[in-house]
Amino acid sequence: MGDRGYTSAFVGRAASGQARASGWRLPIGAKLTLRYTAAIAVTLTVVALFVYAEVTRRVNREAKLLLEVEMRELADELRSAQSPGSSEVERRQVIRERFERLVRTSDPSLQLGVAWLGADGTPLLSAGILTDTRAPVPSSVLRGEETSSLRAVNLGDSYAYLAMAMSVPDGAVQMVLSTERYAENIARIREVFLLAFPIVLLLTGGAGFLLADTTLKPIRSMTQTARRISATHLNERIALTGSGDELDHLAETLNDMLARVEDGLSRMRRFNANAAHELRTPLTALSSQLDVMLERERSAGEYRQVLEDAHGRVHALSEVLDAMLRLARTEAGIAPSDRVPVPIRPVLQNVFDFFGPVAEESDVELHQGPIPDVVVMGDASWLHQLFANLVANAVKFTPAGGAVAVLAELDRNQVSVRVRDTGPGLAPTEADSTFERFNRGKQSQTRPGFGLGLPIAREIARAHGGDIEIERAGPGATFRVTLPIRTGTST
Amino acid sequence: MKILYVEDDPTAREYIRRGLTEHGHVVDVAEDGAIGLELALSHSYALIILDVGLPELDGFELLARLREHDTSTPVLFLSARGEVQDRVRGLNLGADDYLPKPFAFAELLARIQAVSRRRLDDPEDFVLRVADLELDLKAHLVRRAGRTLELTAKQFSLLEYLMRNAGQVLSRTMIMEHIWGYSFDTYSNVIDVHIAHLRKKVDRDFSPKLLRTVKGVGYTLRDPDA
Repeated sequence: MGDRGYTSAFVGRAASGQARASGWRLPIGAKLTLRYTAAIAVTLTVVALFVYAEVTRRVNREAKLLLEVEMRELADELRSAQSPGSSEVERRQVIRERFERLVRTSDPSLQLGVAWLGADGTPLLSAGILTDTRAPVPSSVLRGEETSSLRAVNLGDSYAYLAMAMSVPDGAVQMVLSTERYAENIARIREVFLLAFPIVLLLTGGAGFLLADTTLKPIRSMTQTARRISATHLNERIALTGSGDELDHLAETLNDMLARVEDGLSRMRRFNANAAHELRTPLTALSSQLDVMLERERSAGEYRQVLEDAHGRVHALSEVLDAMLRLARTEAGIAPSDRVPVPIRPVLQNVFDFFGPVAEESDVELHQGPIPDVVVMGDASWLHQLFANLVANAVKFTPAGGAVAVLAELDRNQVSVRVRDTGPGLAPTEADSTFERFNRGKQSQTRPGFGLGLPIAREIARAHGGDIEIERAGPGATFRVTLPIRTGTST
Repeated sequence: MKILYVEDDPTAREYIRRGLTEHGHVVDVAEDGAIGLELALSHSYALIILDVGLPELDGFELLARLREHDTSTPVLFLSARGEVQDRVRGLNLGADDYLPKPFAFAELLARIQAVSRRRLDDPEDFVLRVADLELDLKAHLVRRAGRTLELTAKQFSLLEYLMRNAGQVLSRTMIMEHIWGYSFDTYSNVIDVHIAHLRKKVDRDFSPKLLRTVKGVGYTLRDPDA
């Protein structure tokens, strides 16, 4: 799949995403608002119920306490009023005055009522509301079995009252008070809540929706920018709000990703352009040669010659293609699952053995220093190729009488392999472009090869997490390969 | 040799078939994996040549199924893909060799010879002999005309490989793969130098010359007088 194929797959996927987005869907802002409005509603309800229950409880307690206190005082007074010496009438008078004072000094809204009941329950004296109404009294209190009782009662027209009865000799004292005031208060609280509830929800919902909208605006602009970016329009980046928050972080990450994708695509384009160029030249030559041959009848010998030539060229072309593909593959890196432990020593030894005879033929001395016993995680075949390329290159560019040295050195968690030659080296301007593909350098124009050896070597080094650098450009070049080694064990 | 050749590209199929027939082989062809498998299971072939990318049933699948019933017929893969993993996969599935396309026809011929020969090799041979050249695997010695020759480790392996396949042409690529394990062929001309050095030791001071260059293909070691 060429460059265009890749691009169209990209675009296709984006287009289908677009189609999905146009369907009806709850926007995040609305979802958020609904969610926390619901949360607030629940919280408010819980708080309201709690307050309601608490207030009711307290109110009842207050009323009870009031009653109890008054009752006790009254009961005490009555008991002391029963002392001998005073006549029945006097006693009753004192008690009546006491009752009436109590009623008079009480809060009228309480509608206090007091009564002195005989042993049979009939009122002997009454004041306040109990003068015209009777409140039930438990017989156990009248009989003296129970000292006091407190209960809610309904008097006449359904107002709620609290009635307390206390046992006294030959009867009981009863006091009632209306809880209506309290009930009213509670009712008012309920009304307030009921009114406030929807208003609060509306307000927070509205405000929240606006807030969410503002917060999410950057996401919308991101979406728009992303829509504009396509394979042919990759240089745009998502704007940051500058607030440094999570959305900015996301924008930065996406921008990084875009940069990587742009880089990858442009590499691919360059590669394709190079490939086209490199293949075109020999193909053109072949084509013209065949054209000429086909112009007229030729002898069998001529045909044979041309066929042999063509055969050679096709072979050369396929080698160029192989080399380019190899380069592309190394650029793609090694999948973690394909990495195996590769001891470096046998690799370097092998390369050394391999180029020995060639070096000898060129009258170049090839020697290597001691190699540390370390392991690199990666691809054995590629590592062989890496060092083969470097050594071949070194031997090629070293004139007769020179030397090529392969030296390895362990440096904490990486191994450095230096390939040093005594050739003329690289000119400073050449040094930069050495790793550019298809660059052959001035000296190499007359020699075979198509200038992919060093770029491939570098990509292999990088695929293994290392790199190659020109430690010394010359005269006498030194290429230094650094590769991370497997730490922990160096078997 | 009776060969089954499974290839979906009609041009390649025709040319290769013609080429192989011209070299004395009897060739059956199949245009897809399903037909190929059927033929492979119902006939006995000395060698099966498989293209990896086949319709109906791909080369790997075909081989896997074939190997369920037949583990002895040598199989040679041809592939336009050339990924290292494909090669490993093919060999793991039970193929005997793997040749990336495009290939030189002479290379194919050389490999066909080598692959079919491999199966007949007797691993019990401890001494290989061609003419007056002797290679003793146990003692790790090489002798010619009674004289001991000094060879490096790699030269020993190279000579062993040539002698085991005596009479057959081994291409540079085959030599590289076998001796150095390199599956890339960028430096195949380096092999020429290795052979030249080996020749100096094994042939220069002796007669007859056993190590021969087969132009355009590779090298072979054989006794010309045999």
